[in-house]
Formats: sequence, C-alpha cells, structure tokens
Amino acid sequence: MNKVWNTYISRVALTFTLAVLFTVLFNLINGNTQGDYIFLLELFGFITFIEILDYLLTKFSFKSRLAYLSLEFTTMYFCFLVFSFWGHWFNFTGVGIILFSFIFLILFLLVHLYYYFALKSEAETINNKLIKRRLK
Amino acid sequence: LKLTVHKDPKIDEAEITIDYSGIDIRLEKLISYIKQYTFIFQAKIESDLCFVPAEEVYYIDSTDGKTFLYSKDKVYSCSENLTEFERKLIDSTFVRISKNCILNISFLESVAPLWNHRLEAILANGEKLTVTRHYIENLKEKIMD
Repeated sequence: MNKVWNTYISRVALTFTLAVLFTVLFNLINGNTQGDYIFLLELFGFITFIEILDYLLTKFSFKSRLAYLSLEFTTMYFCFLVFSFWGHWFNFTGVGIILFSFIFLILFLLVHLYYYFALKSEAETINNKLIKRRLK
Repeated sequence: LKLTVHKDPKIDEAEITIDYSGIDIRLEKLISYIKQYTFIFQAKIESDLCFVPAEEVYYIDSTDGKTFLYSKDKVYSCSENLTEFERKLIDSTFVRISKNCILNISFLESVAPLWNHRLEAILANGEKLTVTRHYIENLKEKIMD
C-alpha cells in the first residue's frame, strides 16, 4: 500500500502533468492558440502558486490543526477566485461561483486525503521499524 | 565481536576502547549508541548547575531563544542553541524533528499522521511532539539507520 501512495499515484500524476504541459507548450509554440491550451497553462501557474503558498504556510506554527486548515483553505480559495476572474475560467454568476467553489472544495479535500493516507502509510513504516528496534 | 570487561578499582573513570581493522554497520551502530553515553549536557535546574547524561534526555526544545532539556520528569535550561547541539549529536540517537525541537529516538514510542502534513511523535512518557514536513525524512533516515 505504501508503494501505491508514494510511488504509483505520484508517478501517474507527474507523467500526466508533464504530458499535458508538453502538449500545451508544443501547440502554443506552433501558434495553435485554439482549444484550452491557455487555460491549462494558467491552471498550471495557479497550482504552482498554490504550492508555494502552501510551503510558506508550513513555516508558521499554528495553535490548532483547524486554524491551519481554515487559513490554508481561505487563502487558497481567495487565490482561486482571483485567478478564475483574471483568466475568465467560468461565468461569475451566482450559479457559476457556487458550482466552481464546490469543485474547488472537493479537490482541496481530495488532496488533503491523499496527503493524509500517504503520511499514514509512512507512519506505519516508521512504527514497524520502531517495533523491530525494540525487539532487537 | 569480542567483549572484554576489565575491573580495576584504581581507575577513576570507566573507559571504552574499540579496536577494529574495518568498520561495518553493526560496529557503526554500537559506536553511535556508546557515543550517546559519552555526551553530557551542562544545564541548570532553577539556578543550580547540573550535568545531565544524554541518554536521560527525551528531547531538546527551543522557546523564545531559550533552550530546554526534557528528561522523564524534569526540565533543565541550557545556554547552548539547537544548532550547536545538532552538530555535536550528529552520530547519536538524537534527530532534529522541527525548527525548534531535537528528539532522542530512544524514547520514541510511535508516530501518527496529522491533517496538516505533519507527524505526531508519541514519547515513552506520553508526551506528544510535532514532526514538521521538512524533517520527516530526517526522522525516517535516523530510524532506518
């Protein structure tokens, strides 16, 4: 299970991202600006920005896990709205905002679930090693 | 591996000498374990100066620029900073687990995942410490050693 979380999922995600990114760059360099190439590039920029933001947030100490998650969600959601507005990712109507906020929330939860289970499997490896050390 | 224990009442301080022609993992581990016993912290409890053997220290913590040593039921203050301790204790059972904490893995009972990409380290005395994301690999390497 450890290998699934830490190797296969990240390998598939990385390969998919690189494949999409190279396709986008190849098309844009060849002057093909039709389709969603610009949007995909903006999305890549947004995700990179979010990762930097997340890294900066880990530098601070929070009183509780809830405080950390609330601040992380609020800042990311704000950035998502700014990027969406700037990139015209969807129509800024009531329905559009609710629908895309819901998608953002689902993605946020899925990413956290992935990290939680990856870390859980890492913790199991460490605990098994600790048990073996004690038995020696 | 041959072990010779020699008792001599004239000797003031016990001394361990290891003679070897080549070093292997077992010997490296043994040396690292013994090294822990050769390190003594000079610390203060209230205003009294005292010497604390490294093998009694659960973790070292830095708060507001002050360094504290935590044993099973005592807290000592210390003048050295965490970076100095980290350098001195590099081959021992101590490992950095966050910007402000060094843990002695001899007292680590288990770890559990937290929601903010961190691990919770549970010590033998029930205390809980946080292992930040940046230092998880550090801890893993030390335990796998």
